[in-house]
Amino acid sequence: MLFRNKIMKLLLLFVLLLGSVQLSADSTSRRNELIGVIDQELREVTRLNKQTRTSKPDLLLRMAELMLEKARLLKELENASYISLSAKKRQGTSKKKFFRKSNAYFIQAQKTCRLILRKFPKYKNRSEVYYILAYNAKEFQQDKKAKVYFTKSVKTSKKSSFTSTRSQIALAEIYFNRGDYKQAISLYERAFKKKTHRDKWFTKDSYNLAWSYFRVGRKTKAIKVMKNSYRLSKNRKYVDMTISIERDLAYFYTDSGKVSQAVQFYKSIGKNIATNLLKVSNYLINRGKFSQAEKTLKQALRYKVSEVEDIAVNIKLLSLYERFGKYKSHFRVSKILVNYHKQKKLNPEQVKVLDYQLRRVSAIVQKQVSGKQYKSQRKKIYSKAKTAVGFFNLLAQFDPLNDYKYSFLGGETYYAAGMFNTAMGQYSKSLSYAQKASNEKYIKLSNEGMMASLAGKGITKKTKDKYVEVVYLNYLKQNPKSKKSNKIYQRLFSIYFAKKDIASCERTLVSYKNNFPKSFLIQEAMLARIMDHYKKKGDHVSLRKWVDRIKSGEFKVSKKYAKKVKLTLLTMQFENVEKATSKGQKKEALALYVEIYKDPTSSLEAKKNAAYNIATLFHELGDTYRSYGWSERALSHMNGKNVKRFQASFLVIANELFNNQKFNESSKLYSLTLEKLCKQRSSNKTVFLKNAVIVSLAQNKIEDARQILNSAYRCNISTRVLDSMELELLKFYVENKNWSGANQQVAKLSKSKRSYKDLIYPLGKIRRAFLASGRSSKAKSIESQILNFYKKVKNKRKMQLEALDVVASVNLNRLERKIDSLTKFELAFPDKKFNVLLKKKFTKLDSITTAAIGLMKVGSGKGMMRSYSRLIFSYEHLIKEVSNFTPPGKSPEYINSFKKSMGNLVKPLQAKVRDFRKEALKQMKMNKILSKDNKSILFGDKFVAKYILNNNGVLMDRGGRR
Amino acid sequence: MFFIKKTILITLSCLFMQGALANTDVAWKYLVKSKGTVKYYPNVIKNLVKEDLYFASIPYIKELLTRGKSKSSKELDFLIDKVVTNVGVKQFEVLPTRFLKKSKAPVLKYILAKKYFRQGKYQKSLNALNGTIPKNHPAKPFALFLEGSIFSITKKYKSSLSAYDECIRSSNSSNSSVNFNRKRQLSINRDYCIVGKARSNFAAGKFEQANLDYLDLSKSSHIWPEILFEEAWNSFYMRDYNRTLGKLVTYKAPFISFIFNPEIDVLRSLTYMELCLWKDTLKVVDDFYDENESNHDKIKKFLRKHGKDYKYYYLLAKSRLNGKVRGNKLLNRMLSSITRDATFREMFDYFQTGKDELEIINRLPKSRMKRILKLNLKDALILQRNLVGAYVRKKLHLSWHQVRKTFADMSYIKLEVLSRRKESLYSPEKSMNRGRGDIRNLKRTDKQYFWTFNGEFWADELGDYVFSLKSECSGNAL
Repeated sequence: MLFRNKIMKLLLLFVLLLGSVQLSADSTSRRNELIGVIDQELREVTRLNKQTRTSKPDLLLRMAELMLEKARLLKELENASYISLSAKKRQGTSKKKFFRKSNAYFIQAQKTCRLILRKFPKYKNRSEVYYILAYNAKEFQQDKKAKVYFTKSVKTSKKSSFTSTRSQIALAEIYFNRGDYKQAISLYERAFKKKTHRDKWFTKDSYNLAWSYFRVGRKTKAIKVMKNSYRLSKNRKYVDMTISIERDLAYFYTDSGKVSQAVQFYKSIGKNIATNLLKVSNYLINRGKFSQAEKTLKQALRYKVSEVEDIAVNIKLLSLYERFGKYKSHFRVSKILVNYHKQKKLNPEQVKVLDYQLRRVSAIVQKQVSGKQYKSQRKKIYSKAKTAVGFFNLLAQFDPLNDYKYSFLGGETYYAAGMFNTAMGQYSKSLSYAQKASNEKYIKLSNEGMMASLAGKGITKKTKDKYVEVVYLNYLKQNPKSKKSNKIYQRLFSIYFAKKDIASCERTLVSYKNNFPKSFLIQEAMLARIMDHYKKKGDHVSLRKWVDRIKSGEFKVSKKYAKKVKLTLLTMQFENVEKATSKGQKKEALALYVEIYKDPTSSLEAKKNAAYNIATLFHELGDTYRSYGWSERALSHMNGKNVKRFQASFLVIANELFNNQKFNESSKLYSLTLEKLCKQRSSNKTVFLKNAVIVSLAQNKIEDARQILNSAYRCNISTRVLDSMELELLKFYVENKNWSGANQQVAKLSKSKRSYKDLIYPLGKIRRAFLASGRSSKAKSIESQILNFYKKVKNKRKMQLEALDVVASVNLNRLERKIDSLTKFELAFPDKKFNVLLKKKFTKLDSITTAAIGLMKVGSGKGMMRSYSRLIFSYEHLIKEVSNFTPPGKSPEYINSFKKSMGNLVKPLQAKVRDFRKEALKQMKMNKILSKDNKSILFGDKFVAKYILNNNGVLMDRGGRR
Repeated sequence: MFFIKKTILITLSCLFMQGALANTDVAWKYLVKSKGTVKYYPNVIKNLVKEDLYFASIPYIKELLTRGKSKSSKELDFLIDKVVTNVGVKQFEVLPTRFLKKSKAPVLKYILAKKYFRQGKYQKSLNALNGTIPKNHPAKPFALFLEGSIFSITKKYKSSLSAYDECIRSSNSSNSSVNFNRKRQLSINRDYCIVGKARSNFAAGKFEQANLDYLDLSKSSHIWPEILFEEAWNSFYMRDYNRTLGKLVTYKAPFISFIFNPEIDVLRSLTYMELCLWKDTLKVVDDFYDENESNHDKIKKFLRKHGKDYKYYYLLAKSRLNGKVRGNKLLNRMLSSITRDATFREMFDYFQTGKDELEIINRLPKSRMKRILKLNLKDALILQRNLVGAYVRKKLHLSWHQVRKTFADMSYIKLEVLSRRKESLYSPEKSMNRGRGDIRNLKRTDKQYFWTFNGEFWADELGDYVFSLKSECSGNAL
């Protein structure tokens, strides 16, 4: 029987569903058919309009009406399909595009209406035109415009016309929607006067009128109109408004304080009171009248006839209490509803609401607990916390699958309220639930909560002792590598250390190291505490064991600590040696050092120290050979920093080696030390370099010197020093007549401007060598190189005199060429030619004078004297030539006169010669110039001086070698 | 014997010729004697009429009417009546009113009244007739018809009915001693008067009486086919829609298919609409548009192109009479209808008989009179031809406008149907689409709707068909 009933119900549902689908399909097809009919009408009206050449406003009006009608229908269809779209799709759809068809017709209708008004301003049916315009404006949400047009429509229409009525109603609706109820009432009343114009919407319009009355306080009238509308709604001729009226009429009654009449009303229509009061309350809530809604709901509870109603009303109350913040009432109602839920009497929607409410209110109360509002009211907070936990407990009953979550939230709430001891219990509960549910997240969270509570103020010792170790170990088990675990390990270590449980400490350290391998400092601190413990205890074995673990790299410690550890060990190792040294027992000390050095277990540091100490001990003992050997060894173990520390010792040892003519060893030690010091900041680097290079050069080991110098380039030594060393190498090449090497060296040095002044002298030597070997072209290129370098030297005073001599000698060649051009032609007659030649001679002499003066400016003493000498020669040559010239074939008178005038001509030249001699002498004396030309200047050809070497002595070279 | 007979015939013809010569000579003498006046014109006309030269005499009559001072005489009136009988009234209707008014001749009074009637001056028309035409005057029956028409238009139905009754009597009594043309005219006049009675009753809302009156019109009457449509309207007003449809379906019969009246379709669609047969209504409308819309446009261009080229219209009608059919179907139907129209036929026939006068004149010896008569005849015949052409043109214009108006009517009908359909869609409970309701009606065949008449037509049944369609309108809907 029951089964049959079910089938019947299913069938009924199916039929209903089918009916609704059919209905919707029917309405769509009906709309489409209507559109089809309207299209035909439009075609026909357009045809007629064309036939009458747009001369009939009636046709245009009909056209506008049809367009409006079609627009409305299209809009209905568009609306239906728009609503059927998914929300997402709807969001991405342009409304304008979607409704473009209907809009186009609305606009067309509007245009047509405007055309009518423009073309036929006195058209008798213009009220209908205005009505269309108004309707269109309303459609486009242009309420002001709509209002204007509806008003015009009312004004232009006959009072008794249908247009007048419908315009009045439309206008009334605008006023109603705007809340202008007085205006709406007046229009509705006028419109309703004409009973024959009442259409199916009369019930709906009456409903609006009733509301308008209600709004202006005419409640009795409102109830009357509403009742009338209710009565008419039962007539099929009118739109059925019963549902809205049943709801609102009750509201009217309750609002007027006539709840009993409302109850009476529902009884009279045979409707359920509680259900309808529930509807009223819904409406009241929507209107924001919450207290009235609450009252109504309480009334509904009084008249409830079933559990279903009880649930529905309580569900509604739940929202109200939530809105009002009446959480205690809310809790009470929630409890009832949770009980219903347990009995599975709530429908899915109600379950949803209850779920939402429980979550929301518990969250709100919890927030109040943790918020600032009741911060200073501890009691209030405690009470709120208890309420919140009450809600969480209800939630745990409501949703038992997540009970651990709600217990945890309870713990959190107590924690926030500062009720740490209570929170501990709640967290512990949550932990056990979570463990049951194997929910790792909440196990972890609960533990964390417990941990946090343990750290809370006011936590009792009892609670702490009960939970702490377990909590820590649990936590570490859950989160071995978390940030917090880092601290937990330390706390646990401290707890164990305080208990002198070193074994647990060591286990904790190892575990910590495994999980936080990079937390070296903390590991180091733990290590230090353990090692200190052993040190204090004098447990060397255990200490050595830990040192070995550090050495093996199992534990990484800071350099400082490593150093400290090493030092501890070194101290232990060198304890005896130091004792021997302090007693002056050098040999014993040496033996002990050698022993340490050879000991394979000795650290590098120990070996290094031992080798260095051995070297210094041998140096002190005057054993240079062994001192060198151990120095080399020590250096091999040392890094730059170590060498820097002991550089003075190595310099002393190397100098001692040089002094003892052990040049090779000395040079090697210099270079080795330099190599180690290379990257260090040390002023001794220059000393080591110079010494190493010079000693190598002195030993003719140019290649070694070159290598040392080359490797010195990366040692951050000043270029000036490096250049000076390069110059040394150049000098070495020149002295050894290695011209190609010298040239290469010049080329290398020519890159540094600073070296130009120093390059000229060696270049002069090279030039001379080339000239001597007849390679004048090569010499010439060197000459231009010399002049180029000379030109580029800014401070010429700093130049070597030899270099200036070289420059002067190069310039002298040019002077000589000019003198040659003066002397190579002779004066001749006739007089015209003589004059030309004489003029030429003077021009040449002038050029020689200029060149000589230029040469003097070079600053070379030898050059200067040579210039004077050659000037004097040139002037005297011209004096002589002019004075001695006798014009051929001329009369003696002529010759005399000629000679006389020539005598006058040479006089200034002669004076000049004298001046030159005086100046030269002055310079000679002043600058103490000793030159070959001094003689010719002072004495001409009259005196010859010669220097003779005594005892056939020889000049020594720089190295002192022969 | 044969010889004797031949001699007699020759003598007779000579005598006739001599007689003719005598009459035209006499006419010439009077003409010469007139010396530029119209004093002897009645004599001229008399002699020409004697020779059956009616068209040739028209210029003299018209000149006499325009220039003459005398109020005319019985003899002249008789002459004019004789001429009108042979050339029609149209030749004189074109005369200005002031000349017509001058004459007291009853025929001319009738022509004047007709002219006023055409101008819508009904009272003047009545005044022109009032007591001007004696009871036994040949023009009386026509004048009575005119009078009845005026009374009917001015809603004096009683007077109109008595005028029509008298007209019928007068037309019947005048039959015996007149020529063929006049007989035909009188017969048509009588029929129109019979129909006039029906029309007056119809206008007075007495549809039953009108129906009986229409039955008085014989099916053999020349005007019966066109009047059948009026009968259909009457049935429509009597709400006898099946009879209306039956009468209208008669127009599909080959015998009277020449009738061009677009309003037949309007009435048919209206009738269907009254029976709530929406699809049928729309079909009539749509078919009408399909058939005529483009042709209608073409005719407009055609009429504009030919303007007032009356000769062209005359020739067009003539060619249609000779069986030449043009491409435009609608135009052909209009022309068919016009060429079968009694007025047109009369005017056309007069023109043809007018041509016969030319033979008479040609037989005359070469003289000035002959030349003058030829010229006169030519003028009158050209006028007659133009009158025929103008009539054809006017009728074409009328028909064109009628079609245009029908289009509008059809559109309005369609709109009405559509709006009713729409109304029913808006309120499904008032559905128009109720089906045909009755099984008998469902079994209707197309034959009943669109009668083809192929091989199943009996002339005596024409106009008596009655449909058996059942109205599909529900009580409250329409």
